[in-house]
Amino acid sequence: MHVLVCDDDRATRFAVTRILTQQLGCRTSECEDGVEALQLMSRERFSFVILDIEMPLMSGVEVLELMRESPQTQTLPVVILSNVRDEHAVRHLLKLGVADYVLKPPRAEKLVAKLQRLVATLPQEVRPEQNTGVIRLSPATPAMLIDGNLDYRFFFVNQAQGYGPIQEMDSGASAVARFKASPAQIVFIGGDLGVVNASVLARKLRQLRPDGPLRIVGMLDDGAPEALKKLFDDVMPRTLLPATFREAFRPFVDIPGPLSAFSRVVPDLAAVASSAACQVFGMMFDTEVRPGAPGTGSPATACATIPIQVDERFAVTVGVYLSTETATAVAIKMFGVDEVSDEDRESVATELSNLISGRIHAGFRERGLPSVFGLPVQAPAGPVPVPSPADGVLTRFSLESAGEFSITAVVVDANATDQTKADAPAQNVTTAAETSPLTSPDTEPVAEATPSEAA
Amino acid sequence: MTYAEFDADDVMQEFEDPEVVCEIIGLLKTDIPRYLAEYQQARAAGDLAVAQRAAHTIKGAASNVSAREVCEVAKSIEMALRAGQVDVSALEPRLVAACGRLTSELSAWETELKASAEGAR
Repeated sequence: MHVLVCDDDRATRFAVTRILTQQLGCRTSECEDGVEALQLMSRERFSFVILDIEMPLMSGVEVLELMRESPQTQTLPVVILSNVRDEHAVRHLLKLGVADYVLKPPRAEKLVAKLQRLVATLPQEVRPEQNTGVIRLSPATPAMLIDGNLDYRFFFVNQAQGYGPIQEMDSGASAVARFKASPAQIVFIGGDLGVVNASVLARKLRQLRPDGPLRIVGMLDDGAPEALKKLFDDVMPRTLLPATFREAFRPFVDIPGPLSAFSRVVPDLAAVASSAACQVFGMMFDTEVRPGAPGTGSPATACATIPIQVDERFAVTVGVYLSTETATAVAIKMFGVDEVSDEDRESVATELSNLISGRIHAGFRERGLPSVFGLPVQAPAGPVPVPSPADGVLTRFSLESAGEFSITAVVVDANATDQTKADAPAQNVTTAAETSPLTSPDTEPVAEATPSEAA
Repeated sequence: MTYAEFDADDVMQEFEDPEVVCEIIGLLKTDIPRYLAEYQQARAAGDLAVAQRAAHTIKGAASNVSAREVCEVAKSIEMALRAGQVDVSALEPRLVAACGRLTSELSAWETELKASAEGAR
């Protein structure tokens, strides 16, 4: 949300701008007279204007009169900030159409309350940006991590550095100094920050970068008070569990490449894959599946892949990887045999990839995406590494059976040349299913992406 | 230290951060004398409209730190000029004196705030 603050007094503009940027997350432009205000309005688009009345060159009333005559600014909301209490002037302003009237001096409590009411009435496209955009990390735009705990910093960097560079700071004070020299677009604030605590630090960083982009993520322990959460744009758990960390961290960073583009078309790819696996196993074994624990990473012995072209732009290759144990169990159920051969297990892989890819393909079509389903490709016999949580989006299940299986979806640009495809990093989405005694399906599948996507 | 010309508690409550308070003090220390000079020039030139607006600006700026005396006198001058009352000479020495005291006290407070911040380090 971009707001124009027009007042001939610098201290007033300073106070208003501070409230707008820090408490309402607005971007601001300033000017000190009516002429400059109109010039700015003709060049830039504002969500609303805060306008003083008594100003040099052109008064606020004159500015408002001209605004109401111009199609471009006819309906632009104006909040009058003045200490003019003259009834005649106020009536005239109301006649011209002002959204609100705030008396000087601008004080946060009253100004925020009035502006929040105004913002609620604005069209969606001019509502405040929620600082929810993902950031593409690069040497020029690293993430900043602030945590006084060395072990936690080591863990964070170890888990997150695959997405891009991370600047480590061990205290709030050092973070402020570093941020002044080199402001980050995304900042993760943990614990043990020293004198400059999370509250002061978040406020100071916003003050240093009032026009953003800046996204401040608080890393909080369980049971953190609501007041603390409100300091940040987002919160995530300050966890030492790798899978939980990556699941929480992943939404904050943009990963370049086809998977990132595909995730804008099908943001719930992991859920589509989970649903496909649930449906297939439910139909085949009359068994419910539930999210499972991280896999053991033991190699698969049977694998088959199927290409699906989506929206003429993406080539998604769905792969099914089965352990000997799972492939054997499924073969017994599927073929009704006691003795299971390698060939049977390979057939199981092909059949499962057909069924699961078919459901994923249907999922794409249900989302209105043109989807063309290809033929299965049998992997050569022999051990195949089972995708681990480090390989991509991961959805796990437990099944009333034994062993493990995994599903991967490799996304490439369907229109790229073969050479480009070969050069491009593989973009993996992995759905792993771990088979174990059946329990109730009371939790949602876990979805997470991992640093390999950023390769 | 207590300050007679402005409400330090109110300002600190509003801006919270001593560094921010120092920033606003810095602006006012420069701007209030400048607005006063504009007022005096306009009065000397007989430009009542500009003088009225300058008095209004002084009032607005001073209100940021709840400087009651400056606001009160500036408002009286502004209202008098708006009402077409040309002779406000009785009020002007009060305005000049109040602005002088305000900027001195703001400077003192700024020094005090900076010294305590330094001491905290």
